[in-house]
Amino acid sequence: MAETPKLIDSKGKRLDGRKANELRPLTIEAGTLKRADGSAYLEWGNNKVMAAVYGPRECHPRHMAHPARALVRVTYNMASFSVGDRKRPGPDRRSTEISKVTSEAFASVVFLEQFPRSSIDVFVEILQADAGTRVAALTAVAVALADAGIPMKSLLAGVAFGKIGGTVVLDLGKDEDNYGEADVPLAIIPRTEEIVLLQMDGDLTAKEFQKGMKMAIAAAKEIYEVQKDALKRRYAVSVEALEAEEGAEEELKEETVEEEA
Amino acid sequence: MKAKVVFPGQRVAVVEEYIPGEGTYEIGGDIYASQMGELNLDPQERVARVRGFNPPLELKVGDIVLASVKDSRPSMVIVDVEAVEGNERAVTGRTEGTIHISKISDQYTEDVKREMRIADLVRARVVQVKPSLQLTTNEPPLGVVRGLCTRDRRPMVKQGRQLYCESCERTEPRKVSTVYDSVVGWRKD
Repeated sequence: MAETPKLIDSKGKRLDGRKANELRPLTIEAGTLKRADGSAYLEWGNNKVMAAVYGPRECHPRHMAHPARALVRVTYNMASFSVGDRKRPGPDRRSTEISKVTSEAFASVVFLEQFPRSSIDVFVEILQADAGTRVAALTAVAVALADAGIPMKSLLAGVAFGKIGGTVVLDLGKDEDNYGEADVPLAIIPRTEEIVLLQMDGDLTAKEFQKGMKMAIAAAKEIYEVQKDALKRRYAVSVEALEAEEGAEEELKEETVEEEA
Repeated sequence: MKAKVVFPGQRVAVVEEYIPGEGTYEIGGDIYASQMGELNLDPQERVARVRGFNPPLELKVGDIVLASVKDSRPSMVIVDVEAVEGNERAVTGRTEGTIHISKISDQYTEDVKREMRIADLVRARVVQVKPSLQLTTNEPPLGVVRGLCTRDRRPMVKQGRQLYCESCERTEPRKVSTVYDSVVGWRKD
């Protein structure tokens, strides 16, 4: 590291102008792929992620199937054009690890016993990467699973916090990740604040960790709202129909009340 | 009844008031939604249910399905359910089912091989899901909807109650459906 850029100024402003506890802009769209049972497209800062869910379906190869529950198999893949230097296509150590940890995170929230001998296959494609792709992937997969109607305890929100220039900050960007001191990706159940994925790269003191955790949990709740909004828009027609029905029923009630009066 | 949209993990009721039904689960006395959908609090039965907008497709008794013949045995044919009529989604769970010789046709079946052949496409009705998937084709609109010639494997055309291969100029017996060759576009492609 010949020249480390100044990641955070004296006023606590970061390279891209964010405050310490500020997320990058996040947009999610659910149901973007027609062929998949459930899907989502997510943009988080400069990350662009596509997630597709198939199943629950019969597990292949058969010997991998569990007689009492379903398998969650996440495949995380980075497009060759997703990073600055062309990424050699195909699975590597890093993407295999991310696939494994996201599978495990979702295995802890999906009701697997409802689908014995089945597999829920999830495919995540990173179209553009800019730090924090694993939590972006996780956030997208949660929406795609909900879109596929797969029963689960809750949606999951992925967030990362880290340390740059001695300050604990939320949601690291590319340079912050490269030159910062620590990076902690998390997957959180927003309502219960349970943590289903926790990794750490670099060093943090116990105090710094606590501080980051607090920010991450608050952020998870923010992300949860964006996820819900994406799903609401996906099923806007159904939601509207329901609300219209409700309105009609209320009108009906009012009418009967009037009649009685 | 009040219609309301709920999300996975959202609290919808308490156990003192309702029994957790489909699409919900209970933890510590509270009932939560397990999928996105319409909340239905049944005031009569006191059951809380969530009807998903896009639920996984599980086979039910009475479903009309499209299945391909995988194997034929002396007393039954084994099929793979490919799709459920009127649903675009892929089938969840076990798709391998059997059609017993007694349920192939409403007439006497002497030999399974005179009714269905491997790789034929069959329109059938689900008659049992548990413990094993059982299907029937003993109604006129059910039966083979696309039969392949056993000699050159080309699709055959319907000729009365039999199938005719135009290239070999042969006829083969089948339990032919009344909707032979017209079951296209099940999945809106």
